[in-house]
Amino acid sequence: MQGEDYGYDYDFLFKIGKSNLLSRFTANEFNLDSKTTIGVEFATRTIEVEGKKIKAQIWDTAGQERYRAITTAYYRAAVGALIVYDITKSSSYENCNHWLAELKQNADENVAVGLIGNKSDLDHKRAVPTDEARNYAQENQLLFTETSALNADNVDEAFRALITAIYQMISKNQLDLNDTSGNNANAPKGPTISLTPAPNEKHKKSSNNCC
Amino acid sequence: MVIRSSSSTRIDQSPREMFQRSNSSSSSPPKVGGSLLKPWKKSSESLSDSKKHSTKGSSSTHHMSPLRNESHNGSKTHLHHNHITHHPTKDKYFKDLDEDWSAVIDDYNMPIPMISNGGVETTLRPPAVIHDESAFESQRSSMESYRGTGSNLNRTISNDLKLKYQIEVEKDVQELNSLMVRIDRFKNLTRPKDGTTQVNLTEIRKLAWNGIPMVHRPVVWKLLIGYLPSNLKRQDQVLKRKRLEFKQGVDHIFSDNHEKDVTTWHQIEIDIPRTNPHIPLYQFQSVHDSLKRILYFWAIRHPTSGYVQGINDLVTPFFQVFLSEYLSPSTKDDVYTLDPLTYLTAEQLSDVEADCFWCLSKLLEQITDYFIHGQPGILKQVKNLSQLVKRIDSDLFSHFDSEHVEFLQFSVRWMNCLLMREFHMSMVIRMWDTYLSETSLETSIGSEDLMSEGSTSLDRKSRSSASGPPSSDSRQTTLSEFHVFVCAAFLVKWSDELMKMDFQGIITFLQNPPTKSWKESDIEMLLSEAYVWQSLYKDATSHWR
Repeated sequence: MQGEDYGYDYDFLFKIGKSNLLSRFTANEFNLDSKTTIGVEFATRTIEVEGKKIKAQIWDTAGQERYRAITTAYYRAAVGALIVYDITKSSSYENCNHWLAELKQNADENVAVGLIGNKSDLDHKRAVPTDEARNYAQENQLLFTETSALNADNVDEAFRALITAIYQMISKNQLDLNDTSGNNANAPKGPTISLTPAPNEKHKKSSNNCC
Repeated sequence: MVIRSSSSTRIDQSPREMFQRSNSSSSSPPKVGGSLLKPWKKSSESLSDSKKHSTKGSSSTHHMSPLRNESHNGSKTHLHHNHITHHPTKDKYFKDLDEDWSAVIDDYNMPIPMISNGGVETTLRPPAVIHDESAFESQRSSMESYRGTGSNLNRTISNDLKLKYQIEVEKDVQELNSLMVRIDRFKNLTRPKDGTTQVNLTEIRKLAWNGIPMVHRPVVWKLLIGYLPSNLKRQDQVLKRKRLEFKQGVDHIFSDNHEKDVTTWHQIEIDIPRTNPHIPLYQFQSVHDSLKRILYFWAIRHPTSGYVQGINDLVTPFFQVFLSEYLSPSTKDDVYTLDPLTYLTAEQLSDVEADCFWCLSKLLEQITDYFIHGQPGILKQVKNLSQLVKRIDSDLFSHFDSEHVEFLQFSVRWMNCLLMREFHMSMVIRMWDTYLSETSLETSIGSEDLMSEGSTSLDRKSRSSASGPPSSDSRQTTLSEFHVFVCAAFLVKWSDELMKMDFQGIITFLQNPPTKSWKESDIEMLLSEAYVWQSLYKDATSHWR
């Protein structure tokens, strides 16, 4: 498929990944010299949605195929997920299908999913048209944003949109449950998930990449 | 031998030590285990106290590991007594081994871990350079330029501290003498003068467990891991052949006759630039090219595993230790900052790559199941660690449980990279002295892809069983098993802190544990504690293998 084309761009390949997207959101940091992610890494940030403080606990999962045995374990308890592709690499976009299937197979059926096209600062090297990705997201009921971890464009917005969606979904579920038995037995299992929309409510999601 | 230590203004602070200190101005004193059970509980109390009094260079010789305490105060438990006893009887086992991969490593006669002088090389430079002031100066300045601004600590030292400084110098002189004894012992073991053709691997292993002087490390590592044959007469020949084999293999896979595995190559290409990004050595293009060759060749030769992220970390201790072989004793620390092509020919660099490739193969052979599909080895190790911690620190285990902390959430990386991501490179290298001394008996047996001649594997197996079943006082272990104990010791070291934290605090802490100021004495304490746990929980681990 690749043929002679080894035109990987060293300058940016290792500099802007999902780990940087996460560190941009949780610490407003960007590391030029981050190491590869082994297994999973964790970060957290509290934001306010509809007047409620929500703490998001986010797992950054290793991108390499081999780690899936370990990373899929994190999907189960997740209430939200972000699938990240690189707008300059069509192969990374094509992989999103695979990641989505993986997620549907392993995660709760109500998991909120966002699709993120990262590296929007490299518009001149764009390989994936925005409209195409947006249509794909609509078809699959995914949130969609293009971001740049490098210059912070849209990073906050992307995470906020997902967290808001999770919050609304869980608030709705809470009402539904109250309508029936008030029993939370069907609630997703997980240490940080609460169906009670109270202050300091915690949400958890995993962030996946496809490259 | 006269040591003019006082003639040098900064004799007590080696460049390497300064390098280690570059991240922190305060040195964390070694922790003292007062009792075998929960030594860390007491240590953290003494930690805050001793911090007030600790000054630079007041190193750990007076602190002892739990084991060391025992050997001096009389055995508190019969358990360790066995290990203290020396067993000279197994040596004959090595006499008739003479083929390439004959470095069958015996698990007997494991040494008692001692803190005292295992790592004196960190605080002292090799004696050969004491008289070479100019080399010292140049090395120092190179280290300082690397660190940015040089420290003038000793130049501005107050009079009040001078006396203390003198005492420390005296102590360093003693340590230096002890180091020279160690260097001599390694020299005699790796190049015996008495005409014997076989190096005594058991002795080397025992000695190496407590740390290897820098000048001997390259050769000793190659012996320990079973790359360099223990038969002296065959060493040159084997090295020559293995290096040629590597070179030809690499030439082939980078020729037009080889269809590139695009996925693997791409992964290696994007991982190399983010390998040890904080060490200047790993920024050079020549080093990137070397590592790519080693890793890609390894991946092609081991299709069941293939290249997995983290293997790029694991090759680097070999790489820089083997590079250091080509530097003079006074400039060995420059390995961190110099482009290898400034002191190596292309051919020599290829030799280093070959040595790295074969030693990496030997290392990964011991942990193959970490990296194959599904990573069963890692999952098993994580499970073993959790079971172990449940036994040695049930409070911490319960706390994790109540906070819904799972071992999988923090210890995958510990296993995958053998704790390399948790420590500074110089600490990792010291740790590997011990780890490679733990290389399992099986490593040199049945490695089909590495055996090119010599006896059949059946011969090897019968010979290995001829060494007899493990007796009650023997120590049969593997690198992988020992590593779980090191991880356990590492975790319970922070027990007091972790007990006060919630889920988020625990995960965040363990993702970035405060080890930046660790010195060799801290690493050696950790290894000693792991040794103690392993001795205590031997019964619990018999089913691991």
